[in-house]
Amino acid sequence: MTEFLQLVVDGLITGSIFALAGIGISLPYAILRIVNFAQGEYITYGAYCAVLVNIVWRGNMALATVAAMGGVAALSVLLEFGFWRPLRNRRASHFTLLLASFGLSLVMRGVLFVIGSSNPRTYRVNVFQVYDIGGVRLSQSELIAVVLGFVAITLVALLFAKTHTGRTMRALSDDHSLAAVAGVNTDRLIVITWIVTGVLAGLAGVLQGLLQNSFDPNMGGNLLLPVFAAVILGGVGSAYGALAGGLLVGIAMQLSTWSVLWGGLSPIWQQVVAFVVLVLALLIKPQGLLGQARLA
Amino acid sequence: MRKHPASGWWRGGAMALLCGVVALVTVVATATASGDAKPAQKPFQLKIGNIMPLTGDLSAFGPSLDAAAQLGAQLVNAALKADHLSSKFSVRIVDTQDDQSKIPPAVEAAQKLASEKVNVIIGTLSSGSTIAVAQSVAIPKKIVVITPTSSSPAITALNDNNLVFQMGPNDNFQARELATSIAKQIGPHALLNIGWRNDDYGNGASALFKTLWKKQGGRIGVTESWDPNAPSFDSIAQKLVGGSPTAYMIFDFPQTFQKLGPALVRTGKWSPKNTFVSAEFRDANALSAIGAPATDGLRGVASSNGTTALQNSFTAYFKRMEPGKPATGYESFAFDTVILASLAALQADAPSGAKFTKDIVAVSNAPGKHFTYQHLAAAIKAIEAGKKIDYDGVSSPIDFSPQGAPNAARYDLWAYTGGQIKVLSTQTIK
Repeated sequence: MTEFLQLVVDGLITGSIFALAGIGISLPYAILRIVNFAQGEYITYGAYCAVLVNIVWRGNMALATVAAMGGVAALSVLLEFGFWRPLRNRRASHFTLLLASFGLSLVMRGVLFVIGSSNPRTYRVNVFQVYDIGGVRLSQSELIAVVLGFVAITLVALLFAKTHTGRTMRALSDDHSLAAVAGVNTDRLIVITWIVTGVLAGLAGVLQGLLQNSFDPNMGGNLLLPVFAAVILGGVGSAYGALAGGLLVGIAMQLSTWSVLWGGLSPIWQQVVAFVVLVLALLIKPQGLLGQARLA
Repeated sequence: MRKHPASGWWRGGAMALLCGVVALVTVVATATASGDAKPAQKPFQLKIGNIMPLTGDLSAFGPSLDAAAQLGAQLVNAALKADHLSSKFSVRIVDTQDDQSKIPPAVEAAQKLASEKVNVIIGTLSSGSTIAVAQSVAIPKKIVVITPTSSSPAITALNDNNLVFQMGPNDNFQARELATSIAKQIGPHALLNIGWRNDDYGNGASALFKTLWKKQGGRIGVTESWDPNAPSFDSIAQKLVGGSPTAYMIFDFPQTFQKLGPALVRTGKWSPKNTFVSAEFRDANALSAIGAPATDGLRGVASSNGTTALQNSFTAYFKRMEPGKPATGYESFAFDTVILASLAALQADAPSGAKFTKDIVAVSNAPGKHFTYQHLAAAIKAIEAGKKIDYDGVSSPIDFSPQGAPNAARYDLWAYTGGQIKVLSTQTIK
């Protein structure tokens, strides 16, 4: 039972990161129909912003996390004005935008390799501090990750459900033209979308960095498969779906190693498990658990 | 009376024969006087390109080994100058490329070096990259590859037209020494849980070790491999600590262990004090960066030249010349590589790798007068005099098998305690 609980908690930790990253893919898709393959690099930039504050400037992790969220949000807005908007203004097709996101991903990763090098990075945190909660053992970093992850998920859910901005974003995702005719300031909402995406990607980057302890510029790219699996499982374009999908994929990946299940799979198959979840979701419910290309 | 035709022929022939004999005697006399000296050749330069992991998982080693290779080139050129041979032959490391400890950048690096017309590639430090570099670039372009540390037996077995050499012993030696040392430390029938990174190196080294461990009566409990890029290492750690093993054997790099180590500590069931690790862990700086709870007490084996006077002298020399670079214990392999390639090219009188591969074996294997890096000028003089030499490296005496890998190896059993690597014993394996 302890093993099961440990795996579920581990799954919730990784799943919360998949969920945060997944929202960052779902939101731009719902509002702008952009499948952003550069989301992995947004996440990595978050982790490196925190390195700048935590390691170079010797700031604490709280400050580093805020800086990461702010830094990636600023980068997202910058890319909206300097990259995505000019492409949209030239009426780039969905396929063009998809390819552009691939290109952006490669450029961002290359820049990070040049600036930050591929040397592994770590934060100044005590990774050996362990808390035993009813037999479930968590490091300080994991505890921070799970708490922050769920606080962020709750805030995002509240943003969409309770605030005017959230409701307007949902309206925009339902029908872009109708929302514009109804007087919604679509440009402003698009900027807000990228800010939310950036904040969540920055947070996901820091949490993943804490979870791994050591990371390099490929970190975010390595997360893309389970994150896309989460988005598709939850329903492409559905932020709530990405939340649910992220948690489910995280738990599925961890539970696949549970010894009670025919001895459990080897952990090297965990990424394959994410892929199987993705394929099953497409076969059984192509629109996803909560999706119909809507925000929520 | 007509002269007998033979008499004229005889006189003319006798004259020709006499001239031939005189010429032969002159040549032999000259050759004897100079020890069968080689005829003068056009001046040439040996161009070397380094592929080192300056960043990435093996970045703890790359900069130091690159510096050691540069020192080797400097010493060779200094010895040539002392012998007044600088105008005839020189060695130049034309470029050092960073392979980021990954295969695709390593191949790109090799292509770049090939475009710079290098004769020898020194690198890489990991087996997967070395195989890729050899197969996709070096062998087709007839460039010699000498890897200072890549240890996979798959490199030894490459169909490489004798172009690929391993300075360090291959993993067969490591597996044998690990099995022997672990048996001595915890008993030959102990139960081991074995874990490894899921790549060419980890899969190959662990498979060899498992076979030898079982063959000598050892027992194996959990066996587990992992993706070095896995998003989380907790379930991997949980799996690896399953059962009640006497000890653990882990094949990994310190940079990946920085993720796995803390996860193992978190299980509460694992201790570094009953864990053996692969050769790459013999790096006090890297282990210190991971943290004592995951590293203090780790034991492992790694190839070395023991604590010979030659090794101590080289280590002191390296530290004096490169005070900013950490001595990882592998510098001598890169250093020897440059010297060996230079001596071989000099003996072959050709910078073309394809022409001097057999000379690499010839200048390092017996028979021949023994020389070390401390007597390079004398070694070069001997080669110029046409004498057979046997270069003894700092890393090992260097005796190659026909496949271009060392015939014998010396291994240290070491332990990491209190922030330092301590050598517990040294063994020579043949």
